[in-house]
Amino acid sequence: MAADDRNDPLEACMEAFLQGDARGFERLYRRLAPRLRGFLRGLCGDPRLADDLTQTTFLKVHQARETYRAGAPVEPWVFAIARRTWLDHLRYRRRRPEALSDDGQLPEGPSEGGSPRGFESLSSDALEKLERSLGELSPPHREAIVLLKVDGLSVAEAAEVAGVSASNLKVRAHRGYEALRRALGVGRTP
Amino acid sequence: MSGCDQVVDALSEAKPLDASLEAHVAACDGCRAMVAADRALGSLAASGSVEEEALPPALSEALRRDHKPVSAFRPWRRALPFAALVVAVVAVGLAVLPRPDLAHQPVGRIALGFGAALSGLAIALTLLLHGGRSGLGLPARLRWVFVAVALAGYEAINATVTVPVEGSVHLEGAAASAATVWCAVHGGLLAAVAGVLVFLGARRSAVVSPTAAGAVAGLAAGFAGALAQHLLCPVMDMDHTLFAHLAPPVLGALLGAWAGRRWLAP
Repeated sequence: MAADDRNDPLEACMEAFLQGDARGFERLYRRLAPRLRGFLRGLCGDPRLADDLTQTTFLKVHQARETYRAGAPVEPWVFAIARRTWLDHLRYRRRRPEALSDDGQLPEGPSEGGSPRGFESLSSDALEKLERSLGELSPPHREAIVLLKVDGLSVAEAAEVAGVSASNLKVRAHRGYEALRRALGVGRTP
Repeated sequence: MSGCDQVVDALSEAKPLDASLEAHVAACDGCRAMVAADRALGSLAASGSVEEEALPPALSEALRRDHKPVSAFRPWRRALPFAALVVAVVAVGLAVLPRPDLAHQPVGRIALGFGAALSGLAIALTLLLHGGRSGLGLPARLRWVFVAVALAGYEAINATVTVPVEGSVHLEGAAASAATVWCAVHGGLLAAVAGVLVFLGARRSAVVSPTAAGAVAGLAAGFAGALAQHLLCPVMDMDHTLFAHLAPPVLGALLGAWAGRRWLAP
């Protein structure tokens, strides 16, 4: 990757893509895919599913590029599309709880073995408990926490991605952290 | 507020911990565990991969099939076909199919009806297509409030302009019921035509709240249908106007909310 590619604003990559330059899309993908995957991984708890949803998100970005408002920040737009992709997946899964794969097999469960990247600083038991606890939060609370953890998104942008006000997002995150504290069995100092 | 609460506050506002909170965390096992968990979550969201990634085959294929330039999003260009349809319907309706009582209605009453209808349509299109500061569209709450207020306002104006004059039709019994059904169905069909244009114009543009956007789109289409129906229908009975002519916007908003998730989301 050229150094200037890394420094290009995402908006410039998007602009190039809109003008028919496929490399603009590739640069967007290189820059945003890792963070999107992490975001979706936080929402769904399944690395393989997060990969699929990341691809679906970029397909949607490609298909919906004509609705991108020139000059608007790219990140909230792409993360909002990712969030919508996740919600669509949830809705689909609710309708078909045991969806079959293309070849008629039951899908495999989340991959086993090893800590997900970025989790190395906690013990494996603690990581497992954290993931389980995160998965047990209500979707709005989980989403608020994960959005706030996405590097580069401000509270205001995270709120826009979630379609709520900034104060509402903070309240959701606050309740989410309180629920996480209870789920992790973490006490308070009297 | 205890130190533990302040730590949760800081985490939920994505703020760095200040010195006093750092000191609290150092002394509090619970908060230390929470902060460690929070950092692990942050690492997760930032993880994935930091190295270069090649485009997956499905995306390469999509790019290969179509990477032609697209013009920048112009909300009003998308709204033009719909606006042209409404203007054409009003013009044709007034010129070719005038209600027999229209010539006897006071100009102020006609102006109120058409002015309100056209303003409602313009506001609906603005709420639907405006990107807001972030380019993600206007807040869903604003759109829902507009749907509620517009429907209430529509009924209030219907009640105001429904005044029998010379040439108006008054119906009772079975004839009134039949006219109600006819108006609702006919207005609904006209709204469906308008709805296709609105949904085409706004396709894939509702990134954040496609359900609310769909409700607004359906409402706009319903209002267009009702406006056309108002040009055709000379029945000046309050119950007829308040129910039969309400059907297209209400059904439009409901169906639009359902359809928005499917056709307005990217």
